[in-house]
Amino acid sequence: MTFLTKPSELKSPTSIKGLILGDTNNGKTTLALSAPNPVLIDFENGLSRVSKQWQSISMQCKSFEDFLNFLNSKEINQFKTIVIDPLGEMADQIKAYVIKNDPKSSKDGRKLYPAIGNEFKNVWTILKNKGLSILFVSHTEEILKNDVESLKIRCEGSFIKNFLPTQMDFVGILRRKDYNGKTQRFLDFQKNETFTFAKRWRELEDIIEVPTNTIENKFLTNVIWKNWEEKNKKEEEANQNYDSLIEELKTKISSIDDVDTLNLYYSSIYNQHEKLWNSHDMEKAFLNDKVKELDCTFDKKTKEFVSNKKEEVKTEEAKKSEVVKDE
Amino acid sequence: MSKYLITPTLINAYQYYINDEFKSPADSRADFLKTLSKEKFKPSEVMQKGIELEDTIKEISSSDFAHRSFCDSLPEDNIEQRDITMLILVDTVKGGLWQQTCKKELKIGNQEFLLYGKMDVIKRDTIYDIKFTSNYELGKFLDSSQHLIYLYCTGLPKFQYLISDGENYWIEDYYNHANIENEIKSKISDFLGYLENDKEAKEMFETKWISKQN
Repeated sequence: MTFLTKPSELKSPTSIKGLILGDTNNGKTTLALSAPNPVLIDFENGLSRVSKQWQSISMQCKSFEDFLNFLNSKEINQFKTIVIDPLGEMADQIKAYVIKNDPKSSKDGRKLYPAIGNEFKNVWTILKNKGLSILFVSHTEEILKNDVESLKIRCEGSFIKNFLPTQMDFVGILRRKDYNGKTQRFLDFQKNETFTFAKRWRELEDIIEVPTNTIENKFLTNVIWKNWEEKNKKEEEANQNYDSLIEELKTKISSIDDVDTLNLYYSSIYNQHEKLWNSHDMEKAFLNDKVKELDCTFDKKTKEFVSNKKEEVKTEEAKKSEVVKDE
Repeated sequence: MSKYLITPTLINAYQYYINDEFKSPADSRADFLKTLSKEKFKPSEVMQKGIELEDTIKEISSSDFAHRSFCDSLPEDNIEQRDITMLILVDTVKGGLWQQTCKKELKIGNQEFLLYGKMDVIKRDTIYDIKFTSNYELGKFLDSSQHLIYLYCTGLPKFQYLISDGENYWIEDYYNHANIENEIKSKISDFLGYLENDKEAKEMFETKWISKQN
């Protein structure tokens, strides 16, 4: 029995962490509720704005304590996705909670904001450990910086704003375009100077059209989650192939036990395999270790490795013969 | 025609000089010229902290003994945030290769360049670069040429900046894409365009940045 796991044996996470941004009333909450089996943590009565047929089970959150209690209850286990909406209101409730628990030090902004950050980090750790998918929904604001409009998360406290997006698997903005009386909506994951913290995994398109719901509200499940699963499947396969290749290279190089075999490997096998990711660098590293182990150096002229030991032996022999000559 | 060396440090130094709003123009220029002259200079306090952060991560992640010793030194509960950050960063790069070089030739018009870089860590399909900063802002490295050049030279699919202020950490992800060569060309062209109007800098570039691989 082993306690250890190879990277390729690690199962890819089935849960996704995402942040959906957008203007008020453009359907962010409805979109978030299209994730698999969601529960809405409703910090600002947003469910009332969602069409009846797309509504989900929710927790009408009046305080941060309510939310913490829910996280610690068994009720949460029946869901696959937790939707927190909106992030800014959640941050406000954390602030109220911190002030309530430590009114004295909360009067000092230098203590209050780090305390809010720490509380957020704690709840983030609890949320992650639940193993559920987590979706945050947030309003945005635009700030002009160096003549460039820059998109920001509408939320108090810079820690949450800076920390959260970097923890997400995707950060996208739901945009709306109206023309010829038709409305089209897009999820935009395109990182640029306006939207500096956009995020997606490599296999996801930069911009994806979000269709209007007719029969069901399943866009995130059918498109984003499906893409995530396919990506994970491919990644697992690639990881297995990579590990087999590295193991093969390692075994071949570790079986080299003299300079002649080393030269044979270098001239006919080295750098010949079909490269996968950093496999050639790994091969080079294994070979360097072997070169050190066999105590040899590379002769650039002959393009062969030469044993340093032989040199030493020769030198000693030469010394002996010199001694004999002197005598 | 000479082939010139282009590194992320050079392009970033130029961009920093052009966009800098914090230092005086003279200080900014002095920093830019120092990079162009390839002079060795004493690292600033932030740079020194970055070196120390990288060294610590390297030390702990490169040997099982050091890793175990670090874990054993932590209390069973109430682990401090900076230690959690260290553990996460160490686990991310553990098993990777450190300080590998990458290079690739690039032609812009008739001029040849050799793109060159030294990567902090390369592990499986990802290049990692460790950054220390005392004031992190989202998308801080969006404009950096480092991820572009390393991704282009290696052909690897992913690049991550592992950023820390010693206490917290942030990760910025970048991916290889079809337009990466054009993005690099555009950055180099901007730089070359600037040199046309800065005789001193141009002279330095033309004398100090000639590639030995001609």
